[in-house]
Amino acid sequence: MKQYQAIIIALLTAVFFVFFFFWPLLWVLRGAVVLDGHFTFSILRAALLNPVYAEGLLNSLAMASATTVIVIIIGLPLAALSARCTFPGKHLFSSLILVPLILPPFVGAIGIRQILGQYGMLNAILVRVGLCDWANVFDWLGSGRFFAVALTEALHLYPIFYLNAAAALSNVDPSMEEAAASMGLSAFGRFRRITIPLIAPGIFAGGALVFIWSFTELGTPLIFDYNRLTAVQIFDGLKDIGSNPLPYALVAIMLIVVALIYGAGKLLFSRWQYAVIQKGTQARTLTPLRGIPLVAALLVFTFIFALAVLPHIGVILTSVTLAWYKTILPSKITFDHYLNALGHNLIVPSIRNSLFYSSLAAVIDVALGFMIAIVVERTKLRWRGWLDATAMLPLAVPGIVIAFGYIGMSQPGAIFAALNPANNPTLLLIIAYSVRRLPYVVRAASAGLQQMPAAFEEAGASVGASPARVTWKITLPLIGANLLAGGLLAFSFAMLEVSDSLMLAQKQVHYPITKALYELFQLLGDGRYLAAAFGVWAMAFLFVTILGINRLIGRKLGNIFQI
Amino acid sequence: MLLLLAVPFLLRPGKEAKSGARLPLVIVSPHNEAVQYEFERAFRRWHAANFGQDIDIDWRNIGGTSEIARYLDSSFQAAEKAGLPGIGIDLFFGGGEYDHALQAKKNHTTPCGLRERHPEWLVPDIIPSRFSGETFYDRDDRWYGCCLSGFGICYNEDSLKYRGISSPPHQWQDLADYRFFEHIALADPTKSGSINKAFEMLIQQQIFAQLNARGKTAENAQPADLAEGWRRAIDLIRRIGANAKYFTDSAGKVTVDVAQGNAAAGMCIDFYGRFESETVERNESSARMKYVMPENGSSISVDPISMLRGAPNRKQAERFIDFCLSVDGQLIWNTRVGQPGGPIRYSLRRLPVRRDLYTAKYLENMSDPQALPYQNTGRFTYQAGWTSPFFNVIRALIKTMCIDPHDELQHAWKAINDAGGPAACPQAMVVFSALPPGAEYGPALGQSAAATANKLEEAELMRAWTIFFRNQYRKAAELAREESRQKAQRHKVMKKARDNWSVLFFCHIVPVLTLCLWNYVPLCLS
Repeated sequence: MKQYQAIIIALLTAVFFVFFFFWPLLWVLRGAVVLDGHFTFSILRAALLNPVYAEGLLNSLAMASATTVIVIIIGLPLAALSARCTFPGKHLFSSLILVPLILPPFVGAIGIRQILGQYGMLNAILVRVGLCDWANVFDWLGSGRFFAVALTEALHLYPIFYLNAAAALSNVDPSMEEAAASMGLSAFGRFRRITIPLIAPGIFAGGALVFIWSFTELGTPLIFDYNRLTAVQIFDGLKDIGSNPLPYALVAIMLIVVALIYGAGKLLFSRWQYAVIQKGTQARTLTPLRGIPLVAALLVFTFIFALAVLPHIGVILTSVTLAWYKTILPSKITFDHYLNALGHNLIVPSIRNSLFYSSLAAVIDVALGFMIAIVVERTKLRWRGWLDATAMLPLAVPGIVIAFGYIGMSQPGAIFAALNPANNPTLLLIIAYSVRRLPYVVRAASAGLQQMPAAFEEAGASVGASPARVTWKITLPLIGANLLAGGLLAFSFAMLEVSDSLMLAQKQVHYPITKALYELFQLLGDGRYLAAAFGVWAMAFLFVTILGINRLIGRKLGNIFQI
Repeated sequence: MLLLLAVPFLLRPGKEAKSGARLPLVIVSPHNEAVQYEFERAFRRWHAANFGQDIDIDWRNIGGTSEIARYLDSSFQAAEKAGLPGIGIDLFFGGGEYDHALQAKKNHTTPCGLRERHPEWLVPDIIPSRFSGETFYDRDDRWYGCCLSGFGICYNEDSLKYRGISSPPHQWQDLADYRFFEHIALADPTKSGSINKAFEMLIQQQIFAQLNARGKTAENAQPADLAEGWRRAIDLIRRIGANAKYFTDSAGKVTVDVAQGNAAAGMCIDFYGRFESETVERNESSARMKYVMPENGSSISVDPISMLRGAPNRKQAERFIDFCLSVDGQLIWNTRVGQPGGPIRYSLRRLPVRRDLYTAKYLENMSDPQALPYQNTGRFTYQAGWTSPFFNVIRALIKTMCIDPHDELQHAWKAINDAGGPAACPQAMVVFSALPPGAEYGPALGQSAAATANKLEEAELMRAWTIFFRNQYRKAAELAREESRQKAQRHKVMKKARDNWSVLFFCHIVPVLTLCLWNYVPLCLS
């Protein structure tokens, strides 16, 4: 790619980021450094010197580290099993891999509390088998909260790492490992010295997403009432009736920390990027598992999956519950919640809106993500690293902060007044969704490009093909699956996006699914059951959509990152 | 996929027929869909009957009250910059009195003229201007309370039984019992003016109790009495906070957690408590979930409606306010579904503000005829001068004393109770109960109140208090453990002494006495 073309692409993406990420963000974050019209660092200082906030930041870092480590411990062996072996049921597990990620907001918490609550399913089992009685039940939600949060987040997020690692493993040229084996290197030695360095881009891509996600995660700590984390402190501060400026200072600190950690991680992993790696041109022979290894593999997959979908089971059971208290399963069930929820006048328009907003957001993400990845991986622009890091920052900004920014920048008299969500939030919602979910596509596209030798494109260019033709005929087909996987994640998460939806969609006619879910949840009495019923519908719809896309491209989901 | 998509389409309700020209009305509201649905339906009918035209209400839903407050701030700022008279919204409906008073103070709201149109409503027998220490409408005609709510205690009888608590909590101080440790669900006063008001009422209640104990009345109360009452109240809040599992801004979370047994008791808004209790009874045929309003320990506050400055549809907005405060509008809040004048789809279970609705004629159709807010609350006279200047300090104090250092607070409280309870650890309790100088009742508290008016000074004050309380709780925990160790050591020494005395008694004294008796008795007998 020629220098001027790279600059144009970089500028286009930079302009998008400046207008739709930094502008709204700065509009809000000026509250961290401007007080009564005067510039000051005192608010940042007050935030940094408050021991509770400092501890919150350290806890958040520890939480993100612990979650990432657990995710790697869970995800890497599973990915290795999936990429290197074949066993009955493998395709089923591959198809179900995204399910833990598809958990609707609001009702997910109810699902977890219904299972882990003091008079919930788990304690009911323990009482039934005689391990405790109701007067001395275990408080699963209140004990060992740090590790409980880390484990729950890890079980929710491991599919992101698994997909990246499995793709990276599949793309490793088996001849490299065979050569090492022929030199007498043990299996563990080969994995440590050959495989791990070769799959480093995939590990980094998945690990970075998981780290930043868990660093800024709000929902899970709130379920366990673990409050000394920066994300929770920001949320608390934003809800404060005293219009407290400290949360803005905390957001600024969080952004800086994420950028620094991402940069450091990138630097560390760049040592392991081998530009001359040949993609696996020869097919790897998968080892069929039999006997004890087969049983062990099935047990591991089933156990991890069952743990990860416990909240989903909780939501499904809640959706048919009339009474569920001190029993393993609901003691009285009803299907009326489905009739009342799906028959509500909010539902049909919200489905239509969500599909429209999320599909367009995913398309924008794929286009932007591909362009950013090309600039970062295929050009020598000096500031491409900044572009890469910037693309990750939306993960670190609480949704409610950026939503306030969008509202501010679209007020009458402001330059984006035409986008005012009070009139019609469609454009702003699509932009908001695409900005917030862009990191997934950028990482997926970058991982694809890193593992694809530039020599393929150079060969195309050397025979006279224009850059556009090279991109169309060579690059896109080779990383198409990566882009599709990233786009799929972007679409799924956009369908479940909360903060932007709650604040920007102000009229019923514009509500997406999550806002309709929120409105059902707010109804007194049976509201949570109705929300659970609609949540189950949303989960089923997303799952079927993903399966449908799989079928459309003729591959299994677990192999989607493979080229 | 098609089948999944088809289900909601098949189940969707038929579209409502829309008449031709409809007058617009724009309302921003934190009220849920049920309130919006019932009020829109009833107002459109009322408007058509009285003015012959239909109304098209454009509801703006942008989250809870705190989100609306920020939205109004930024929108009015932008409108002022752009030279616009308003923000294109007519009414702010719902939220607490605190939020509406704040918007009025910021000049975001405007007089709505109800005072001139319906002076007959603004009398003590219909809508009092103040009750139980709360203001029910703005003297400058900018906002009016529409319905009432108060804070009470909900509890789960099963959880109480399993924790060995035989008498259910009926006063705030009952929640300070250590047997509730980690089993209290509390509402967060930093997130809602109404919750902060509830804590202020708790403080007033304790001050009154202190005065009663000293045989005094509000009229002859001395500063020292008030200071002692304040101290006791803050200590009570601290102990309840130490028992708390969490502080939440989610009104529904407390009642659901208590109903499901994840908390034994909690502080909740009255209609959430009543609603959850009824839902459990209806769905599960169980009476385990109960709600009580602490006698003389709670105030009732209003959910107001305000006319926003520069309202584009002023006439319709005035009519909506009139409707909300008319008998027709008031009946929607608590009349049972299907009863004359009541809602048709959702039972709202809120209490109307109009006092004249609490009569037999209307009570027979109400969902909560026993609630009677004007009879069951307000039995002591709120003394605004005692605590209202410190409204923001109360919020800052609870945050720095209970919420931010919650882990340290709980560790200290547990250590004290593990060591035998407050009576057994006097030194630890002195440290545990200490207040920073700026939080003591008197001039210092006034200075702290002044500091909360400036964001930076408030942040500095809160930082200093957080550090103070954390250190106190850590020291208190250490002292309690030390006192416990000393007690154990004393016990050991005493036991050793008792053992030594036993040895002395049985090995030396008893044989000697026996010997003496053995020799002396025969001597005597002979």
